[in-house]
Amino acid sequence: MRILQGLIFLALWMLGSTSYASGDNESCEPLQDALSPTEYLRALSLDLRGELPSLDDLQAVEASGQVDPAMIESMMETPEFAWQVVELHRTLLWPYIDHQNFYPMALKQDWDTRLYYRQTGVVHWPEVYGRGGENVRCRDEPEPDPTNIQPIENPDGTVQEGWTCVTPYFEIWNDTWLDSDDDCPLGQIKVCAYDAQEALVSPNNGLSCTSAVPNPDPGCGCGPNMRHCAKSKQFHSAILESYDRSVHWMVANNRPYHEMFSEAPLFVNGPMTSYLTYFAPDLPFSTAILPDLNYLDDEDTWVALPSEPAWTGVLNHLVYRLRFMSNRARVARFYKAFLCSPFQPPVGALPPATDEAMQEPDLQKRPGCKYCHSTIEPAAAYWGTWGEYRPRYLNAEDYPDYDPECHDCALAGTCGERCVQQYVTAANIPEAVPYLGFLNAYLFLAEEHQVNISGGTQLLVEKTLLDGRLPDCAVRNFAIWLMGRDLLPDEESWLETLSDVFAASDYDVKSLVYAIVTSDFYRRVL
Amino acid sequence: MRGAWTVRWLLMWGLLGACDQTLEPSNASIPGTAEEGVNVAHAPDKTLSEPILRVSSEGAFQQRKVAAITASGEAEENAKEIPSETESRGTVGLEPEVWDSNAFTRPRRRMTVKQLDRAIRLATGGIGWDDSDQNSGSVWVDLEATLGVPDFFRRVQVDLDPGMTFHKFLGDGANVVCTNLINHEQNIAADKRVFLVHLPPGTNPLDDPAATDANIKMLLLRFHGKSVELGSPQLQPWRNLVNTIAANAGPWWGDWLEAWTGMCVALLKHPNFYSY
Repeated sequence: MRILQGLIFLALWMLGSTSYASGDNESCEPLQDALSPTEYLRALSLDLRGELPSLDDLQAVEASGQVDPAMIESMMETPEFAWQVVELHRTLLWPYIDHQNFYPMALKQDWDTRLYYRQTGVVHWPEVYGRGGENVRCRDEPEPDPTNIQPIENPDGTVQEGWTCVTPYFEIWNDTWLDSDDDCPLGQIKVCAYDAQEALVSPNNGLSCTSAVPNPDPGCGCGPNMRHCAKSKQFHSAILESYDRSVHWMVANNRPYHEMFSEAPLFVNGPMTSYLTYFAPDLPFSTAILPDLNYLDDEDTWVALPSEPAWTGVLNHLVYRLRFMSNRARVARFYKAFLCSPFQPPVGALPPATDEAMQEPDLQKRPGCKYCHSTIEPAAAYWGTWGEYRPRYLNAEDYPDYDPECHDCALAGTCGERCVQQYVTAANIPEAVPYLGFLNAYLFLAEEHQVNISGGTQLLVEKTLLDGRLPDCAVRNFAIWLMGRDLLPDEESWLETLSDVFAASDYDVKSLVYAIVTSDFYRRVL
Repeated sequence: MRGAWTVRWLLMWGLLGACDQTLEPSNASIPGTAEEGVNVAHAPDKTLSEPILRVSSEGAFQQRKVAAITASGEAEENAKEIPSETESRGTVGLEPEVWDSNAFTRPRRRMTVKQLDRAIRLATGGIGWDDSDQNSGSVWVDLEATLGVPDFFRRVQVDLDPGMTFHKFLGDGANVVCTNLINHEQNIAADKRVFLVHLPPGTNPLDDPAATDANIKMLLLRFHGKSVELGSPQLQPWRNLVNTIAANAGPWWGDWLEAWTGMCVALLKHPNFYSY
């Protein structure tokens, strides 16, 4: 009975609330099951261009009562649309390279003296620059004759030279106080004399001073205009933008979506050209194909290099390879982000680490691990011609599939860095012995999968395009982006329809996006 | 008895709320899809006299439309013209067993920080939240990490949560931008103004209600994409805001401009601005 009384009271109270609400109802916005034309335009403009529509466009739609399809198409022809697609792909490709110190000749400026010098420490050896001690810089005095450096010997055995003025290739403050504490003319910086040396070949041992891997000889400096040295992260923004431009190229040039992965050209500007010319080791192309771009003047000039399947496309881009440093990581990201197939073993599939079967060295066979690695290992071979953990292309001339030297040194236990890093040299694992001397990508790789190494990522893209996984996942990614949430089981059939549209348009991103944003689904907002 | 009370309770619950609305039945469908011609989940018949609640399979109320179909698959219009007898093939549900009530509806989404920065600049004719002290450009750029912009290393997903931190900084930004905007509008020609378009800064909004309404209508369109008719009750809250602040503004000439500053802040902090 009390419950009944409570319900009656609650009902009366709600009726009162209702009548109050009804009285205020007219000033409330009406609920609607679809966006009004002007709100629809606003949503379209924010999604397709990243900005609000102009008042003129809003008033035109307000007057006509509808968004003209031509208006949507024109939005997708703007440069902003291509950059919106780039933004989407940043969330899939995860561009980040700050964790990598992939050009080792890091210049540093001591703020108190304004002296520029090459850092010593983890990357560089104390003896490299002739001073004989870690973190020993030059004296804050001019070196009388930089072509004949006469350092002063200290009681602790270290030596210190003086400084000299240099016009660097990179951007400086162009303020004599900030750049050199008023010690050098405008446009020049104060550099320790050892580091300012211009020799291209060491006078001490005749070795090159211009290799991407630094020559640790005291006779080698930073070269003319310091061009072989760079400040920390100096090229990062250019390299990241080059990555973005590979995605942008696909949209702006109306290319099929899949071409972004393995065919989009490599874009270079002034700083990027400088990096590739002086700092990048083992490039897959000759630096002769690089355009003549100036570091300072051509920061905003972007040139597409001639395409070559072995190294074009975002999956081969430096940023992808640095962000995902191992071939397994490269596979994992591609499968999750672009095939919508994350690697996840079944619950309880992994046996305890103490299980004897866990000693199986081939992950394609090891219990538990095999659920993912039977796919990962063959797929990792698509990146088999790229080095892991360093930006290095393993060209066939310098890195043949099989190197007898690496085989022999593995057995003798005398392998150097080249063999250890790029070849199978683990002679202590009996199962690995047949693979000794082969590139790492060949380890435990079945014969039928060896074609993946030569086919590269282009083969991976072709296969996943043909089996539909790549375009289907792209449809899902674009739908999630524009709908702002994961799709529900009830909506899966809609994705199939979109996939048909996408395929019929030869994987044209604009056709796909048009189909999504003109659906009732897009206009129906809660 | 209990069931009847439950139904009445639910009926009343449906009526509760400051802005109660009745959704009209919709025949909307997803064109070109397998669902074509089938009412989608968002558009149930929600007349109050016959509530239909679509809930999960565990739910208590799952009203299904059931129809008999004939051998030809169509309803018989004139039984006399068809000599054969109707052959029953049983009953079939016209709707799936389980509808997700959110299917085929898009949730409102907060702008990204970059969109917000650009949207504010476009709505205000170029005035953004810039750090004038350090001459370092947009404050929004400085706040990216705080507001959930991923660096794709430590954070890999975009956080679009319109939470307290977001609102704190949106409010801070709106206060700066709107103050600068109204100051700027006082010093430029009429054809350059983007905020005070239908009445000049020198006119107290209380003195020209028609121009004030026209200006509010324009601002709702510019900032929120809302098309509101002049005379619509939807203008009332905004008109009240402007008039109340103007009426309580200081005694000096031009103090009424506080009303437009307040209007600007309210527009920017409204969900209709920062989400879509």
